[in-house]
Amino acid sequence: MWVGFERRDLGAIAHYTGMLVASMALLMVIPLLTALASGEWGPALDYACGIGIAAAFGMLLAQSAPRGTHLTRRNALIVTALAWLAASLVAAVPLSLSGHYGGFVDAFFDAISGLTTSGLTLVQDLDHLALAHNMWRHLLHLIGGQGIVVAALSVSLGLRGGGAVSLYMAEGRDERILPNVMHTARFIWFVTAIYVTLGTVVLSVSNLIQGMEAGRSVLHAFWATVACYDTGGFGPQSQNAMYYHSPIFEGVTVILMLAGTLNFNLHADIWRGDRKEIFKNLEARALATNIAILSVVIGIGLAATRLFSTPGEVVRKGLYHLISANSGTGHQTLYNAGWANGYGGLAFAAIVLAMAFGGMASSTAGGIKALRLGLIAKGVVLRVRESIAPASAVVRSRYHHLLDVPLSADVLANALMLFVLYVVTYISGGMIGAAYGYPIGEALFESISATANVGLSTGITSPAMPLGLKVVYMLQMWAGRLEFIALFVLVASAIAAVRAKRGRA
Amino acid sequence: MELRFHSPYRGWLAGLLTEIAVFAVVIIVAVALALAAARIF
Amino acid sequence: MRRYAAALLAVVVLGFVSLPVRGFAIEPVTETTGAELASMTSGLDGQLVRFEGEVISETLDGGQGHVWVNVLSEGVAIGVWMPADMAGELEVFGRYSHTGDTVVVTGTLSEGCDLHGGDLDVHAERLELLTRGESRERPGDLWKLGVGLAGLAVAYAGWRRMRSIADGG
Repeated sequence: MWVGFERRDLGAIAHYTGMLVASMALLMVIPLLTALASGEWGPALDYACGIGIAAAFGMLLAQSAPRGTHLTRRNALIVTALAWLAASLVAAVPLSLSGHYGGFVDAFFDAISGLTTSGLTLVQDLDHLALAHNMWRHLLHLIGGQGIVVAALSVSLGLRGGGAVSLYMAEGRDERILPNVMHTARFIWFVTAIYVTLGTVVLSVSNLIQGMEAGRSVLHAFWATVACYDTGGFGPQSQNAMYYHSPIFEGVTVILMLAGTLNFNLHADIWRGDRKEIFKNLEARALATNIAILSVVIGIGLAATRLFSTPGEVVRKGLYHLISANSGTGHQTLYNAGWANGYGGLAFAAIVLAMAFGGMASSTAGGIKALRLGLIAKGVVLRVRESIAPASAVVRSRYHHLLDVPLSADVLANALMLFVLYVVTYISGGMIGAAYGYPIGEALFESISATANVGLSTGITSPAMPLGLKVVYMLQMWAGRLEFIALFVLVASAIAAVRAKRGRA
Repeated sequence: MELRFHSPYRGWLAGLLTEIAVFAVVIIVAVALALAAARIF
Repeated sequence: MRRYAAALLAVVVLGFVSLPVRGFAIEPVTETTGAELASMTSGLDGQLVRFEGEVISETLDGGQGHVWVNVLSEGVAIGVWMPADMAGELEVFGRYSHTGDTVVVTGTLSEGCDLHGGDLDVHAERLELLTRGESRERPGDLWKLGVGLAGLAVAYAGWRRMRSIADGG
């Protein structure tokens, strides 16, 4: 049964969406300060404008209901779905004022890509982009990756009690780590702070040794760390990770990508002292198996092209992109065009599969997720065992994910459903790209990269691409990040609301 | 049954080092596999 | 007629004078762009190439007495590896506040460089400075500040209203 909408529901939804949008205004103070500190007066004005628009838009929306309004579970899902769009809308304002985008749509594309930690970009002349704008683009990864909602919780903006709990659950991170939301938010930020600090320090030193000046070293290190740990993929230079020509940079960023793709619950368990969990965990095992198999595939694939004459080169290029793809990061040390023209079909396929599978659930990674793949594999084994066993036998299967859990039909059905939803979206996007005249292989690569929030590109994503395809990729990034359900609730509620209106008329 | 809440903050360094060690092992194994694949081919 | 003959002679003489400067190179140099080099379809792997572009990185350490300089050409930046003294003339690299030195790089393209972990790079043999980079004027628009302040005023009014309702006012 579809429950209809009342004015009260709309008010509550608009109120909480507004509060989240207003929190974006607060966060824009960071790029504003960056601009002021580095004497970038033009960008400083862009952020002054952006802050005003975000604050006004957010506060006007928030007027629709009093503070502390109750938020039902369904409405929380709708707020989550809308928050990504509303936040992206205001986040795009300063970017589009920068003059580095073909128009507001392109800036909006980058804002969505940033917040969903995808990393596809339509920015132009990135190498001359202001530090402030780069700060904002990378900050979007951090905000989106740690969850807009958790970010809002952390700045304690008007979210109280039950509303906050259901908002958090709606983000697709439904297993509760710690007894209450504030603790969880704080712990997520704690893990993030440790990794970001560590990554920034190590990469700063590496950049300094490479010969970059101190200020740039630290900023570049911070951005690269955030982009990798939040499995984003933006970079401050058009060459991305190639800019640095440093094996140390590549090694550190790979570790950060793996840390970013680890389930937050797993982080919590390990940091609480249960170190064996990482070996027993079904999801960790599934991801490790995934990486191991695809390492072999990409090794063979790249070696077969004879482009690289030593196995060492194959490994350095292959594994960087494999882990970048599997964790949903999208950093690259190869040029886009090579995927279609140089690195061979097998390596291409390995990257496509890695992107499609994705990292762990309850992390910033996208894609189908290792937990679901592990469950489905277990389900297949269970079905085979059932078929072999005598008719009277009861065959059961268990899996270990934080706890020992029996494999239920419900859990399996859920995993399979999301698997199907992802695959259908991957293929649909690929077909739309092909309809626009791009080769089907590359179109599929780009579609998967968008849906799984990866950010690797064969070069289709560019300011010159058709508007329709930009919109399709934006929708895919949004749907993929929400894992579809919140999006469907939004659509279903909208339909229900329209029907109810008609019924009354 | 004893239910005790362990603070995740106290053991963070050991946890962090465990994680980094595991990542290093994953990378080394992947390198070995890819290297073997590239060599054999 | 005599004038044409003289002009023709001048061209021929100039041609002969300038040819040796180009060196009668044993290897032909292909004029290209960064975009073409990165396309992986240029067919220039292992060949001597020349391209013009803007320096967009500081000189980064490249080991063995060499440095890396990233050169932006036709929208695509290419890593160029060169002996440290070759880069000595470079002063300004492109960034928000500056347009970098414009240079012409002559060097060998590797689509998968064995020395540098499979990078697509150019090992430079010659570097010519065309124009010195300079700082860029980037004026801001003050209307943006106006819009921002107006927005903040609206937001403040909204916040006051909401707080007074919450306080039961």
